[in-house]
Order: sequence, then C-alpha cells, then structure tokens
Amino acid sequence: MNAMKTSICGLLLLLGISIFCTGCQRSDHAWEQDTLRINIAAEPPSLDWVITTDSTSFDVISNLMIGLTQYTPKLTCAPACAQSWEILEGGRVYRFHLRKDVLWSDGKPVTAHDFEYGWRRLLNPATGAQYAYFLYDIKNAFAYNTGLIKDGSQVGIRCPDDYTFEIELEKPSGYFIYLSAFCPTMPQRQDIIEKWGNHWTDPEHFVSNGPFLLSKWEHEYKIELVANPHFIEGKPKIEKLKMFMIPEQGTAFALYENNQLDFIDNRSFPTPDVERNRTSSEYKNIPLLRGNYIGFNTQKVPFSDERVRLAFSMAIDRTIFPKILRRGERPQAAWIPPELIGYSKDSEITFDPVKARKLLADAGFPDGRGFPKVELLYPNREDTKLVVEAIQDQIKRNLNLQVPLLNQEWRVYLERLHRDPPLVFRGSWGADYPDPETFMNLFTTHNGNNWTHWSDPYYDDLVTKARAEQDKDKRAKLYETADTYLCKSKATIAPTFLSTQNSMIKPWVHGIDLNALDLQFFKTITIGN
Amino acid sequence: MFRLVIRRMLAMIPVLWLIATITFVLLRIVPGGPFDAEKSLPPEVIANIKAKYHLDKPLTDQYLIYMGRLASGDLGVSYKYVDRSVNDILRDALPVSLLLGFLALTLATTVGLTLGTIAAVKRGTAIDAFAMFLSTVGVSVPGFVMGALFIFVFGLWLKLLPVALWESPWHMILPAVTLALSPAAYLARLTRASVLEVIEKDWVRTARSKGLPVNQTILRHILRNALIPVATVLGPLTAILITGSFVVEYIYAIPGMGRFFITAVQNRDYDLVMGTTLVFAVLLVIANAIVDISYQILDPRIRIEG
Amino acid sequence: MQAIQIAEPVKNVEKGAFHRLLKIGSARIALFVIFVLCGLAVVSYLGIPLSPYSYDQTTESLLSAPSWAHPMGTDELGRDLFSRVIYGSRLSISIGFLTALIAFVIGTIYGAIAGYGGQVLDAVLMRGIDIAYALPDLLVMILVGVLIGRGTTGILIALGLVSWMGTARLVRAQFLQLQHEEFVEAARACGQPTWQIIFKHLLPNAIGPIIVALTFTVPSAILAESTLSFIGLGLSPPACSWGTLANDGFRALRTDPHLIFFPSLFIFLTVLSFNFLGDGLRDALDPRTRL
Repeated sequence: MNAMKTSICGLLLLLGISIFCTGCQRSDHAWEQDTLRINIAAEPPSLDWVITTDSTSFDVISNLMIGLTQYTPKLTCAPACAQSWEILEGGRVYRFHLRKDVLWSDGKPVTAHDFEYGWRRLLNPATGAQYAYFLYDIKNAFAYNTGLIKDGSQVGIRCPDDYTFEIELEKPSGYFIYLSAFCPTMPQRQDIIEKWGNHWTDPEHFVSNGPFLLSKWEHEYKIELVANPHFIEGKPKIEKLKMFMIPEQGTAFALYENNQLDFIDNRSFPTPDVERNRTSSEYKNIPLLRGNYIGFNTQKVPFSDERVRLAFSMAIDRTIFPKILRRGERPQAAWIPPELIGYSKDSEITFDPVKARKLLADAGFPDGRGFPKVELLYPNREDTKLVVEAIQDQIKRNLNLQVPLLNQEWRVYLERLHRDPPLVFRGSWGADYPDPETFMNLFTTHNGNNWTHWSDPYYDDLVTKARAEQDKDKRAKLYETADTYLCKSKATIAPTFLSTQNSMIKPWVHGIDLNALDLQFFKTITIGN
Repeated sequence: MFRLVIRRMLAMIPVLWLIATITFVLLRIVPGGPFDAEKSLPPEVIANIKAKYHLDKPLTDQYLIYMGRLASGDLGVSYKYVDRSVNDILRDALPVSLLLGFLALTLATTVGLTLGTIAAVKRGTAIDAFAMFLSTVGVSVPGFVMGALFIFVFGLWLKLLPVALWESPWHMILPAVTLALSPAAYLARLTRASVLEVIEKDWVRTARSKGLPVNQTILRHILRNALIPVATVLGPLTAILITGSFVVEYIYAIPGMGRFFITAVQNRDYDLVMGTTLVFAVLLVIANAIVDISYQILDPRIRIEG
Repeated sequence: MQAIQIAEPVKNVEKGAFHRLLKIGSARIALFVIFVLCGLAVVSYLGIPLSPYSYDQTTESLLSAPSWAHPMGTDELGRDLFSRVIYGSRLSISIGFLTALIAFVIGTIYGAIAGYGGQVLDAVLMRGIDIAYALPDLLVMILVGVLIGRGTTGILIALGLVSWMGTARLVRAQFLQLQHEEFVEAARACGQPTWQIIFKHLLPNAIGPIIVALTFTVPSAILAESTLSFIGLGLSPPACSWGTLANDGFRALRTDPHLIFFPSLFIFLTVLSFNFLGDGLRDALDPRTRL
C-alpha cells in the first residue's frame, strides 16, 4: 500500500514539474528566424526523380533541383538551366542552349550530358521507371523502353556539344515543352549514381543544382533543406526549409494554429476549419487542374446507350458539390478546366432533370422502371464517400433510380478498375502538365487509363490533330470540339467538380505563389516583418 | 524456469516460419498488387518493374527466395519506399514504438491495477462507481477522439503540453496517455473482478471477520492470486502497445512502426508487411514467455512447459 | 464427501441465477437500458417509424445543431441524426452481441481444452493463438471481405476471427490455476467425467474474468465495425451504425460536436450497461455471494 502511494505521489510530482517547465518556454516572435515550416504529410517514397512518381517526392525535389525550363506562377515555361531554345522542323526537333554557369552542389558544372544521362536512365527498361511513358513522343523511346530495340543510342536524344541538348520527336507535339519543366526530366549525375547506387539520395551523398540543399532526412518525420549559396538565381532569402510529415489533418492544423507551421494546404486543412476560416486574411483558395467525374462502362448495358449516360449526367445538379464538400470546389460540367485553352461554356452539359427523365424513358426505362441493377464503385478515401452519397441522392430524386454504393479497399478498387470496370464508377484525374492534352487524351481508344473503354474514331482523330497542331487558336478549337463531343453529345463521362487548393499563410510569410498544378516553390520566400 | 525459456526460444522458430508462410500466401491471394496505380502504366513498364523484384517468377520460387534471404536476416526491400531496405525502415521505427509502448504500458499497468484494486476493496461505494465510469469511458471512446481532445485541451487551449511531434520527453506524455487509456480501463476492470474473486474467498473473509485490516500481508495474498488473469492479458497487450498503436502514432505524427501495419498492407508492400508481422510475432512470443514465467512466480502450483 | 456437498449448491444457483440477478440494483437498471436499446433496434428493423424523417432522407438544413425539428441535429447531407442513430442501433447491437457470443463460444472451448488438457496440448494450442495474434488483421479482413462479400456474415466472421483469442487466453489461465484447487481434485477422485468437471466446477468458478472479457468484446466489436468500412466490408451508404457515425463525425469534433457526441453516447451507454450486467451476472452465478 505504501509503495503504491509513494509511486502515485512521485508520478504527480513529475507531472507537476513537467507542466511547470513547458509553461516556461516563450520566444520573442512566433516564427523561426529565416525558416519556413510546412507539412508534406507523408514520407516521400524516393528522392530520385527518375524513379519516383509521388507528388510528395516532387514537393521536395522541386526545391532541390532545376531542369531545362521552369514554371512561372502562370504556368508558362521560363528559362532555367536552358537560357534559350528553338523549336525546329515544324515542332519535331527541340534544341536547348544551356547556361554555362549552373553548378552542382559539389562544384561540378551542369552540362547537356547530365540531361542525356537522366533522360536515357528514365527510358532504360532496367530502371523500371514508371514515368518513362512521358518521353514516349521521342523517336524510338517507346520501342527502347518496351524492349523492342535494345540499343539506347537509337533514341532521339543528342548532345551536339557540352551545352546544347537536342530532342527529336516522332511527330510534332504542342505540349512537349512543358515536359522540360517536369521533375523526371531534370539532369542526373552518372558518377554519383553509379558510385552510391540506392543510397545516392542519402543526405551525405546527395548532389543537386537548385535553390536548396538536402541537409537532413529523418524518415517518416521530417526533411530539412538549407539555402544553396551558389544557386544561379541568387541565394534564397530563407536559410532553412523544414518539411514535416504529419499525416493527420487535424493535428497539422492544430500545429498551424499554435504557430508551429507557417504555411498549410489541403493536406493540413480539415473541412470544418476551411469553413471557419474562409473570411480570414490568411486564407486562399485557388482551383487546381484536377477534375473529378463519374465514369460509365460504355461497353455494357445499360450504359452502352448514350441516352442513359446523358440522362445520368443531366440529372446531377452540380451546384451541390461545393455546398456539401465545403472546400470551395468548382462545379464542372465540361472536362477541360476553365484555366486551360480549349475550354468553352458551350461544351458544358446542362442540369435538366425533365429532359433527363425523357431520355431515360426513350431508352426504355420510363420513370426508372425496369432499370437493371447498377452499383456505383468508389474507393474509401477522404471525401469520396460524401461525393458518391450526394450523387446517389441526386439520381434518386431526379431519375427515381436506386443506385447502391459499393466501396472497396483502395487496391482492390484499382484492381477491379483495371480488370473489369464496373458499370458506374467515380474517377479523378490530375493534370501532368498545364495543357488540355493531358485531359483529352484520357478518353482516347488506346489510353491505358480509359476505364470507360470508350472508343470513338471521330474523337480520337480530333485529339490526334489537336496534339500536333502548332497554331494556338486552331488547337483550342479542336480541343473545344472534342470536349463538347465528349461531355455534351456522348456523355462518356459526367464531370462533377474541379478540386481546389485551400491554404493558409501566416502573415510573416511573404512571396508564396500558388499555382494550379499545385507545385510549391519556396526560393523567393521571405520570413519576418 | 530456465528450461522454459530455452524451450520457448526453440519453439519460436517453427511458429515464426508458419506465420511467415501464412502471411506470404495471404498477401498473394488478396486482390490488388503493389503496382496497381491510379495512373496505370503500360504493361511493358509493369513487366520491367516486376522483373526487377522477381515478381514475375512462379510463387514457389518467390517463396524460396524470400525464405533464403530471411534466414540470413535480410527482410527484403520496400516497393513504395524505393531506395530503402525493410531492415533500415524498421531499424529507424522500432525504437520509437518500443519507447512509446513501454511508457504506455507502465502507465496503464500502474493506473489500471491501482484503480481496479481500490474499486474492488471499496466495492459498492462512490469510488467504485466512479472507477467503473472512468474505465467505461476509456474503452468506449475511440483513441483518435481522445487524442484529438487532448491535443485541443492540453496543447492549444491550456498550452501545457506540446501539440504533437516527437522532439522532447514532454512530447511523449500525451501520446503515452492516449495509448494507455484503453488498456488501463481494461486492466482496471479485470483487476477489480479478480480481486473480488479472491476477496470473497472463505479464508479472506475469516481473516477480515476476525478484525484483520486489509493491509500488507492480506493484500499481498489477494494480489498474487488476482494477478493471474491480469498477467494473462499483459502478454498480448504488451506486444500491441509496443508495435505502437497505429492511431496514436498517426494522430501525434510519431515516426514509429504502428503505421506500417496499415499502410504496408494497403500498399501491398509485401516485404514490409512480412517484416513488421515477424517483428510483432517475435515481441509477442517474448511477452508470452514472460507471462508464463510470471505465472510460476505468482502461483507455484501451475506447471507450464514449453 | 466434500465433492458431493459442493456439487449441490452449484446446481441450485444455476436455476435461480436470473432471480438473483434481478435482486441487484445496478443490474436491473442495466438490463432495462439494454432492453430499451434492443427494443429500438427491433422497432427500427420492423420499419415502425420513430421519427418523421427516414435515415437516408436528405434535407436542405445541412449541419444544423440540435433543435425541436432535429433533436440530434443534422449531418453534412442534411440527414436527421436522430433517425440515423436509431437505424444504427440495429447493426451495432446485433454486431456487438453476436461477436461477443462467437468470441465466448470459440474462446471458451479453445481455452478450456488448453487449460485442462495437459501440457503438450496447451503448448500447441497456445502457439496457435500466437499465430492468430501475429497475422496482420487488416489483411485477413480484406480477404474475408473479398471472399464473403458484403453483408452481416462477412462482418461477423471478420470481427469474430480477431476477437476470440483474448477470451481463450483468459479461460486457459483460469483453468490452469483452478485445476489445482481442492474441489477439482476431489471431483476427479470421485470419478466425475471431464466434461462435467469443466462445466460444473471449473467454468462457474472461472466465470468472473471471462464475463469481464466479454463485456469488453462488445464495445471493441462496435468500434471495430466502423473501421471495416475502410476495407469494403461493412455497410453500404447511406446505411450506418453507431461506429460509422462516430467515425464520420470525428472531423467536425470542434465545429459540430453533435455529430460525434450522440452516437458515442449510445455506445457509452451500451458499454456501461453491459459492464454492470456483467458484474451482476458474476455475482448471481457465484454460489458464495450472498444476495
């Protein structure tokens, strides 16, 4: 009994001391001097930009490296390692002239050979790089990567001299320039990678050419970057970039409220807090190039009948999504986002429940009678459940149809989607680059991610023409026609809403520019008054 | 007792082997593979990747390759964390979970046993009812709710303790308490029930009716007998705590091993699932062995072997 | 002589257990509460409406606080929480009950054999439990979901599979200890068959901790069921249970606490009642307790 009493007293004493001590920590200002603290929410699977496909990895790499070109806040391509470039032979050849003063962090110069090595490594089948397909427009790239050609030197990548980098494409391509700003196409150091193998990304071996250097990597916990004094655009104004990995949204937001994080985005922003802070001066909302849609299996009854698809698409009142999801979503009735060329209000499908019911009746299911059993498949991630519940409700109200919801574990869902897409499913697509091609290509016949299995030669033709077209206006018109055909005429998909980025920025952080591709660059940030 | 320990160590090997084999099979049966992605890849690229990890070989070959590596202590590589070996990943994460689990275990045992004993001795009074109430709360409110509440109350509102992360000893308090809640509640109730069993035995009643206070000697006898069911659950409880409840590490952003139990399965990261399962199994076997040894100490009549 | 004397009181206690139970105040209240909750579940199942709203009916008033129109408030889609909590009682109560029952039956049989069947059998069976504990729960449950599909059977199997081990270990521990007690040795000396020894002597005396274990299986089953929805087992929206309601309401803990408060309250009441009931049962079954 006495032993127990003593230990309880001891515990209470310890608790008391600790409370006293923590209460004692105070500092002059809420921010950490010249340091930006953010939450990337997850461990980056890899910092080798040729191997990884994960957006968390890119968040880190975007601040460690620069490539041939870089994105401006308006998502156009500006010079980076390349000071200028020419597009020759009607769009089939790209010639980049590199700056001679870009250095790696170990002092060696960045040359065209580093780009050549990186791009070849990306395409080398032995690497097993998942983003290899980005370079498939290059001559012989597909053949090399899939093993049809064994000789890598036949691929259309050349270095006429140490500071000139040349690409030859199979066919002209209007969006190719964007790929030169993309992380997987950044240069790599052959000597470093061959020497250290899998461990070349460890902080003690890592070599980079960008605004920051890799200082610390505590796995599953945080990554610390420090300013690169030799960065060609000038040393960043902040000394340190601390990237924490806090998976729980609520906790991350609490840390922001407690002034332990300086900038947060969707990953650290629970929906109720978005609502509460909408009017705050620290809050910003911008639309992203990420579209959400309901897909139909166009090869199976009843969705092989376009009238049924149109009925479904017209029966959804898209204004409910921002109301229910409460994250500033933008209702989308066409597939190309308004920020990109090729978007037109005329491509949008209208909410018309009367016409929808008529179409359904025409298709043989008056008032919903006789409609076959159809389940809507969705993965249980984040807010997906709310979205599909809302859609289920809309279909019930406006078409008098019961669509049961079927949720699956994430990988089981993916496997099902790949193997035998269900009749109705919820889909989502984030742009790989700021061009309508990434959205429109999705529903062409040979696209491996076209779960609708829709195959329409007219559509394929439009997209192929638009892709190669060099005249901007002509291109836009072609994409517009394709979009209208996709959403309004054939209703292959029912677009639902465009995701947005919700962020909060502390008043002592200056210079954060948000963009629609959600790339986060911190080289021009300042901290303080 | 020494023989018991040796026997247990030897028995561990076939048990671990069986666990590894069953998990291996389960992983392959479940639909969805590590390279099913939202943006799916051309089949040729997938083939390249699979070849790199020997996933294109027949299952029996894959099994033998894995077992061979396992025998030499190599737990394989992660598919998701592309440059890291499972050994490295666990080497970083395990000590964190061990520390957190140990703290929570100490807390849960101290609080649970104390509360349970007091409730049993003061049975039927307000103290007993209050203890019951507390333990019900501890077990019916999910961990993530308590965690969020603690963060809000102690971190944001009262500003007494750090909100989250794992930087100093003060950062360990809230997570340990959150993790200890449910086990403490369970232990309290279990202790109460088993103390009551003993306290109503004839010889105890006789002693008390003779005027002997419930102190020292009597309590020691009561506790010794009552602790057997308690020791029973301590085994698996220990292991579960040590592998660092997924929820607590998730909420407080602690770089422990708990998260891998869920994320590795969701990612179909085969070797990482196997690695974490085996580590958990080893800890479990050790904990159970300790429990069985403690049975011998508490009640010499019990004879357990191997 | 001794054995026969002990055997009789146990028999009588079993017959009068229910009456003894009702004598305990806290157990009476607990029984009443459980009865009411079960009643809610049955009423809901029979389709008798207790509220003007249906559990899946969306309205325009999103996320409203408790009011006369909506005694427990509404959720993100404007659905009445009161109706949903009542609907949720169906699954939560039945899952809680049945899982505890499965765990009890399997666990007791397994533990009894291990505890009383000799050292070799004990060793083998205990290693079996170790293996069952060590296997990744999530993986097993995904598999069950895939093989058996949606519906209550799948849920029960998945939850039962991961719950029986605790009871088994407890029963085994008790039996290991009790088999050395004098009354057991006496019974054996008298030549009583093993099954009689187990059911008439060992089990009633071991019942205390076992009942405690059971009363904890119930809430853990209710809460575990809510996590099943992540893996495609469990409910199909808009169907709900207390667990899934609590899970969904977690995000809004600080802004709309009613979403998590009410389902949690019901879970809490259920657990508390089972606890008191468990206590009462233990006293009622124990021949030595004077009531």
